[in-house]
Amino acid sequence: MREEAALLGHKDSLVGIVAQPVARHSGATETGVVLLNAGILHRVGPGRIYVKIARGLALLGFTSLRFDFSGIGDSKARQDNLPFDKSSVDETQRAMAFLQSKCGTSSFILLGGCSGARVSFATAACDPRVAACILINFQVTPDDEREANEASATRKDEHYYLKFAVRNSQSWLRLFTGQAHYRKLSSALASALRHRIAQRTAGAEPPQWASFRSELRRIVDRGVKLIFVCSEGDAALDELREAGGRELKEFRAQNKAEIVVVPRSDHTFSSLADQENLIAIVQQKICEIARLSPSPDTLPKAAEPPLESPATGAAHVQ
Amino acid sequence: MPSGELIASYFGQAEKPLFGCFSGPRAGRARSTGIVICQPIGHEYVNSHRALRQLAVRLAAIRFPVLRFDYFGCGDSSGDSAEGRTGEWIEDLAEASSEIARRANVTNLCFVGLRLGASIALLGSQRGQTAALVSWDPVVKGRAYLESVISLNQRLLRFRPKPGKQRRPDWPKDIIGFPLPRELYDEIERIDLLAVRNRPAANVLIVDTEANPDCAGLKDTLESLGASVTLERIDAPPIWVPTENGGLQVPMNVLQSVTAWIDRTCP
Repeated sequence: MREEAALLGHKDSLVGIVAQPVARHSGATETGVVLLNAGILHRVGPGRIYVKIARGLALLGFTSLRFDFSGIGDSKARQDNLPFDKSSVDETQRAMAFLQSKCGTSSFILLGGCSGARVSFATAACDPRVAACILINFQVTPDDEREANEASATRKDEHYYLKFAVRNSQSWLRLFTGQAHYRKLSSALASALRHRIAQRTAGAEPPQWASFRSELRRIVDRGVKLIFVCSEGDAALDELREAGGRELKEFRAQNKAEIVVVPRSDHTFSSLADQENLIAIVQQKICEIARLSPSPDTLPKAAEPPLESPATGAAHVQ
Repeated sequence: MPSGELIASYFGQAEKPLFGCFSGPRAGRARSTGIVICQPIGHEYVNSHRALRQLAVRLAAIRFPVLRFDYFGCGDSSGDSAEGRTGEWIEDLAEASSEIARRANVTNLCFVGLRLGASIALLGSQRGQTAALVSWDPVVKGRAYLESVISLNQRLLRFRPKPGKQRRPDWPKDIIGFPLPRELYDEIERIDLLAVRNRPAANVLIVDTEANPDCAGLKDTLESLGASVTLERIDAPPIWVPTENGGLQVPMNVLQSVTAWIDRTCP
């Protein structure tokens, strides 16, 4: 494996790292992987996980590029007024062109967490070079499009209390012994109540959901494989299922899209166990997409298997 | 020297390359002090990257050649996250000093370090080649630092799904997704900047945003060794701690103070 720093994009203003295998494997050479910033964290990713993913992929034979969008990490800010949803797609396309000219990769798998997942999805909708996307904690409605009073921290708390704390005896013990974080708990419960009332009174679904399904159909119809990798502890998972509706279920049944849930992980995979599980899933899925069959000992194994099977949605674990 | 552009590259030994971002003014206009920025480690590195990049931009704008680099096992540098050791990071700082001297015609060095990066900068300055040193919220006592990161990890773990029941080994410890192996833990635990014996630099700026009493102790220690020490207490957030909304903080007042002090102190 070898790594090289690269300047790319308009006027070489973007900074990235190319990781390449020393020996190329047959089948993997034409598929490049581009890793897109998770939020505003620079290209190493939370917990340095992008570095681990890129190095692991290089050992399997894949060339990858992880780079910073303009204004993030070491890349310069743009001088035009192009909004992020446009500039990020443009820069992702330039990143693919760079990798294509440098390493000869002609089709691409885009991988991104959080906002990086949204950019992957948007690029897949408009660029035929994208063969597949690994969408990690994809948000159908990004935080900046939510109502101002609905802080993302409160949504995370709501998800945590209703999905995990309610099943944890320690949490109940803390509640009844005066040790709970009552302010956090009450704002999370108030947020949950607001959601229930809004769902009953509004009648119509949020506008982002319909446009998500229409993009989803467009991408899948073009033959792009979509793999939604979701943290069990992330609030975006519920919305993805609801917003995707029948279409997403249908695509999953046809094996054109998958939802893979990483058990007990949080939004940023902030434990080493979460990271090991995520890396194992990513490597396995990328090998499947590239139809590469590495020997079993070269693929890391997830300590805990993912929670949802691709096609049926049935639980793998008890 | 390159003309006012950022150079991102690997440098150092071929078997363990280090990543660095060099920025310098246009040829012929550079000042004679090279600034090497020493970043913190682990989650603190990720959270403070944006602020330290901004600091580099400000320093380059007043004509200083600047090198920000990642230690072995950190950021984009080679090595697994569990492989880094403080002794090796001090050697990496020496390598980075050679690199900035190679890229720019500097006659002096100024090290700027944040948190554990400040400790590495100070310990690395003991070799006597550093003219100025900026210690931004330095880890004065390693034991207190270890207690604070372990306690932060436990606090954050409280409001997230608990890891699976599979037994994980006691070491490395998991600190917000970064491994802390036993050897590194022991090395950090032994850090005590109040026990240094040599003057690290002629001029030292200590930036204290946490009202940390150890910073005053460090000032006394370094003054007793003959350094001219300025201690600035500045009201600013702990930018190295993860925020609830995932945002990164850039404390303009700290950057302004550090830049102004370097501008005044370094040729």
